[in-house]
Amino acid sequence: MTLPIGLPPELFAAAFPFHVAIDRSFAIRQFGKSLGPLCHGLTEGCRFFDIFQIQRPGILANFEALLDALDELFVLEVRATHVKLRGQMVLVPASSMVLFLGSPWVTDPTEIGQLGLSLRSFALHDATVDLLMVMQAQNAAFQDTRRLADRLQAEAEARRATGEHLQEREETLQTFLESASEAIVMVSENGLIDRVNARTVSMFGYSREELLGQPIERLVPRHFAESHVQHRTDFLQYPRNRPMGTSMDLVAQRKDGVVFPVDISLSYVRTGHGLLAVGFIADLTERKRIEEALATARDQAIEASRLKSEFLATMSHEIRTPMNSILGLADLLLESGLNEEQAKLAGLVSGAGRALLGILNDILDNSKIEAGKLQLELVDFNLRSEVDLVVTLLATKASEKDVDLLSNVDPSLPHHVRGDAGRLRQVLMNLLSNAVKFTQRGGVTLSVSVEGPGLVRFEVQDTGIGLSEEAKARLFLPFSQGDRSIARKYGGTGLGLAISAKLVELMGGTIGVRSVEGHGSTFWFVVPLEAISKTAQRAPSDRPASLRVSGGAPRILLAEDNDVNSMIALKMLERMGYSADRAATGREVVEAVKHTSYQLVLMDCQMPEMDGFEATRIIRASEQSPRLAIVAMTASVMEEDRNRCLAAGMDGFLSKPVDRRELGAVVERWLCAPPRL
Amino acid sequence: MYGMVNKAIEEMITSRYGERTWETIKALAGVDVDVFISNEAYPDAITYELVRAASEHLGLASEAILEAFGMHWVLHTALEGYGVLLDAGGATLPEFLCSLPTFHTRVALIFPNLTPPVFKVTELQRDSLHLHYVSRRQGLAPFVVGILKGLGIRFRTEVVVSVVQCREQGAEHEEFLVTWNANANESSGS
Repeated sequence: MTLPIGLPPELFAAAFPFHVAIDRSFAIRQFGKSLGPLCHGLTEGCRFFDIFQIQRPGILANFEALLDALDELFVLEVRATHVKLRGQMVLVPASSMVLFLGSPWVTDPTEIGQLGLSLRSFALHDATVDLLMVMQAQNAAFQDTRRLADRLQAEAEARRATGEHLQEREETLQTFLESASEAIVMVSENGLIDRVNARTVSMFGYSREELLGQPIERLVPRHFAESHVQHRTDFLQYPRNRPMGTSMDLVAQRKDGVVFPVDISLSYVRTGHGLLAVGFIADLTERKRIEEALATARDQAIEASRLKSEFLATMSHEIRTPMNSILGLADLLLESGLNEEQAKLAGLVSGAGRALLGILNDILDNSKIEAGKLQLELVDFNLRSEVDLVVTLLATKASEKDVDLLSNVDPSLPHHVRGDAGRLRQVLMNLLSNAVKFTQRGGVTLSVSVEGPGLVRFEVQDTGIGLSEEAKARLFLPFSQGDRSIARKYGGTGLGLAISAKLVELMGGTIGVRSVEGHGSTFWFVVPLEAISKTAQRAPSDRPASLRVSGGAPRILLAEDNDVNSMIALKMLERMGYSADRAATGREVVEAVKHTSYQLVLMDCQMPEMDGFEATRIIRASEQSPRLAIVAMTASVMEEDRNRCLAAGMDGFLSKPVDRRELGAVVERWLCAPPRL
Repeated sequence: MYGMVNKAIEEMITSRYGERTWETIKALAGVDVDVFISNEAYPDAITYELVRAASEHLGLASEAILEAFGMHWVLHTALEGYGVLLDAGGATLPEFLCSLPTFHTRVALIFPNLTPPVFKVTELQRDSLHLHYVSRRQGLAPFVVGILKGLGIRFRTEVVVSVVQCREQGAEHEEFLVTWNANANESSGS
């Protein structure tokens, strides 16, 4: 049965917008509206072959040949635009015309626009648009593929670059590890050695193969191995950078079994395969050996220094004891009504003895300075009095040489200052006595002036022999004088200026000299001396407030085992107007103070049976107020000796040989009643 | 959802806020996809999560993001892959909108795994039409509004979109009234 399909022209055109109807003469009788943009000049009645060329199937010579090919796919080409149309030819029996039903053959969606068409140019049933969409989807997929390929390529390059970077870092790390001076050992979480450097191999004597994969305890002495397992487990549980065993001496063990001292720092790294503990091990064998050698050398030096000090103390004590006798006896002799020649000879004995004592004191001072044991004593004192005292002490010597000795003190200087009066006096004495010694004619002037706030300048100017440039250069060095001939001519140890320079330095001052050979010298020094107001002055004496005071004549007990020294001291006291008893041992002293109410004990320190220290301690232990004054009088004059006296409970210190003036001052200080002269 | 949609979200975020922000948003959304394939079907949840995470991270309402995304889609993403088809879709806004239903029908045929929305144009006037949007997916109406505004820019036509009805208010589907300045369009085309 044949369906009566008779489509109105507009519906037919909508269903086949690219159709062409041709008659037997190949004249175009009808065409679809969508062909317009493709075929310029297309009109009804125009010649088919003027507009189109049949590309497929083959060459068709006439209309019959066309009819014979109706079952084939037709491809037409628009002559003007070369646009191809694909479709089929259909014979319309009623009109003997042939219909071409098809649509443009489009392989690229962009062609739609280029041909002046739109999607609505195509019939809805035409799959061309769908084909275009599929192609578009394919394009999109192709772009996705390209995008993915680009990304893969980029990632591959990044991986390659990362790999090269990692390789470079690995090489750097390896170089660092291998060049390290410490052994570096990396240990995995299960305690196996993961990596070692070259130093580890040389330090422990194992090859790498013998270490890698082995428990770290292979490097630990056997008796520590068990506890080490626990320690490393603890470390890996709470890893942090720290030294290992700071409070203990660490040791490690070589392949040959030798145990050696080490220092170990711990660290850790996290890797893709877990945590690695890292140990940095330093071999301390050599360092320990050096430390021990240094310790031995230090001990030896300390011992040598101790022996030297001991020797000096002994020598000092042993020289001072007979020196006390010589000087004391000479002084007593001088006051015993001698004739002129006898007095001169006795004076020479006394002078020689005092010169020897000066040398001894210089040697001891130099020794103290070298040992760094010399300490200053800050006291408040009258500056002018000290200057006057020094000038007075040297006045006799100067006048004997017919040398004028003058002092010039700036009136704006403070009267009272705080400093080490004894050491200041020592420096002044040294400079002034040198000036007098080296001046044959003319004079010596001591000038004291203000250098600046809290600074005092002392200058000793002489008209003596002066100094060469060479002599000035080494003047303040120990055991150094102008030249050998000076030592022979003028005497002296060459220690005086070196000691003075050190003392000035200790006081925080500076010292120097201006001199032209043959035209005299000016020695100067500047030291800080703090000005003290009168109200701020310390009490001149630290005499205890509650001292034993008797109503009668002052009673003094002299503790002295040496008969000669005892005799000298008693004579000195007697001439000063004091009476004194004598005890020859510490035990006698303890007994004597029990029965007699003494006001002052002059205590020798080294005595048979019981020394002065012990005796003092016993007296102090049983003593009740008021306190008995005990002053050491000893040939042991080192700083330690002085401290030991004070620690035992003594109140003061007098060194032997005993100077009569010093003895008088001490007795006067510690007794309430003035001496009977 | 079509991979192209997710790809478009990625492009919009990276072009405006940078690669790092996109990675952050992706992480917030729990999406572990490096490259979206345009024609691949992805679970709708991925798209929704990306929009939610972008809203959270950028501090913008989801609706604003979807609308901006719809504009970006028309003006950038669709142009890159389907610009030619867009061109062929029509020379004017109404012509293009009228081709939308058929276009989506063809999409549904070509990609049977996708479920593209259904569009329908009614009441076509000289300067307005009603666009019916039927989708099984909820909450994408602002995306459609963005597309319509983007098309207005593409066709250099001043366009106003208003919601006639929506599912949130009980309607069966969304219906938009799209109006444009027909005179301006004609004068610009002349």
